Amino acid sequence: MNTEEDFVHKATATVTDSQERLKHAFAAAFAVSPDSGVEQMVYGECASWDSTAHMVLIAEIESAFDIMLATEDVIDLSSFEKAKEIVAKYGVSFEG
Amino acid sequence: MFDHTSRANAVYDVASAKWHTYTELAEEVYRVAETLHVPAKSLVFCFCRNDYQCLCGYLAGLEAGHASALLDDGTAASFQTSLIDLYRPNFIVHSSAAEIQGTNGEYQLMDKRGPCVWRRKSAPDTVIHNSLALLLSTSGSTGTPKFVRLSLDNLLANARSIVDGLSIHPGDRAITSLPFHYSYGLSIINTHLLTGASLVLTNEGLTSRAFWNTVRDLECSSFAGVPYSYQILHRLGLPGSDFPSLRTMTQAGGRLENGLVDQFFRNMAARGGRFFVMYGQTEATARIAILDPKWLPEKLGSAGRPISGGAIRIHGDSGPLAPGAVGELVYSGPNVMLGYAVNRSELSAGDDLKGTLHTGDLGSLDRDGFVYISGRLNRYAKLSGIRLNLDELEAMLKDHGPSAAVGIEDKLVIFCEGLQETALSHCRDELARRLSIHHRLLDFRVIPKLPLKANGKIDYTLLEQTARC
Repeated sequence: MNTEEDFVHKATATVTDSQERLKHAFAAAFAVSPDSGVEQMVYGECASWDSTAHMVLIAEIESAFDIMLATEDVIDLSSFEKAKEIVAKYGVSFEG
Repeated sequence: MFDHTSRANAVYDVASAKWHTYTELAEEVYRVAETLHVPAKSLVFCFCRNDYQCLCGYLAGLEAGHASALLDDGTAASFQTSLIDLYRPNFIVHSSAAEIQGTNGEYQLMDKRGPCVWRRKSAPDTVIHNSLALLLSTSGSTGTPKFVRLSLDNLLANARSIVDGLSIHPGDRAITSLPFHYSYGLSIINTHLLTGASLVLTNEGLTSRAFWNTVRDLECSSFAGVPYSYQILHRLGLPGSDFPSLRTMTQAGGRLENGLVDQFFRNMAARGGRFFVMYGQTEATARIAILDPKWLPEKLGSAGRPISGGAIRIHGDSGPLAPGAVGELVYSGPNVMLGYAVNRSELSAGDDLKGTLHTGDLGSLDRDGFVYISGRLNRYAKLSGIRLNLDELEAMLKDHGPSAAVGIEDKLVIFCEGLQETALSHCRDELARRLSIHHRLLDFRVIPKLPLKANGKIDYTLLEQTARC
């Protein structure tokens, strides 16, 4: 039987998982550490975010969450925050 | 370069969201050329991005009769400094009024109303050859200070041949999807200005929504890309039916696989547009051959026929080869560079090549004169349209012990003897930064001993096979 505490713990684990997975996808695409502040990354403000890096990032996100992004989403993905929003549309939960 | 009196729109500058007519462009170019006016022929370093100010800076350099080197404004500061040391440009044209790093007050800001113009304080330098108009880097940003020397005749001849081959007309509108300082990107700018067509200057990448909104809203008709651009477009399913204005797509800068050529050709044909496969080199200003889509799918895999005014021959060890035989592609035409330069004193040299270029590319001609490119004679690799000299790259890695690089498809595999597994990713990231390419395009591998051929040279054929495994 699940206690409420267990439930809360599981939910938190999912949150951390998705967030962490997205952080790792960004880190892998831009060759930086996941803890280097990738949550603040925005296209256009970051010199290394060119079209090559963008397509690698898309591939990383797709494999991390096992999803296939639509064209509209690929060209809309312009920041870490926006990426969260987009990935959430594919049924990935970032909420508690 | 263009008709100075037309009231037609010449350029839309995305950065300032403004149209400029040909008359306005000419006035601004004359104004900047006035600032650059000195009696002695001078060297101008033009740090470029796709905007109106840089366009005016580039055209003003030509107008003033100087020689301009076009450089990426995103080049690492340390490389900018070393280039300035090596070439001692008399002027620097930059979009920023902030002092260029490492120039120690050598330069004085002359004008910042349009592009910022800096002038070197010291006395006139070594003489620059009268014909020299433009210097382009052969290898993007690999950090090699080697330039291709081009004359105004080279530029104009190549632009006219391209206009002819692609039938560019005043109603065309091109979007800058490639860097200004890259010979292919520059050829888009030159050909459209020469025809009185219009240009949309943007620095947005193909993967951004802003780029595609611009194409749609400003009804751009022409798009240019390297193989990697078309791979991205393929993944994105673009251009879809919501871009009706897009009528001409061109591809150069390396070989695009036949499947994608066929697909883009059919996509464009179905919407009444055209998809051109092209071949060229910075050493030939930009363009050498163009495949008119009327020959597709019959000549799929070919890079087309030589541009007007040019000729292609295939050379073997003992002279020209018959159709079908593979050998070195030798091009002759009015767009062949004067020669190379690796430092300031070499800017005084005249026409070394006399119109004939040994391209270093391997290929063959069919009986109808269509060229098929099959590889490189020298050790070069192309990554995202950027050409890398593999010997130079290995030299950059010599501090890490013996290494050997081979190019396969769109990446480089680098075998290192001296490195530990743990040091590989650090080395990879460092090199990627230095070359300004994505780290995923570099695949470092540890090897106990580099394989050697009987003559003691590295066995690259064997390494290529290993790399593909």
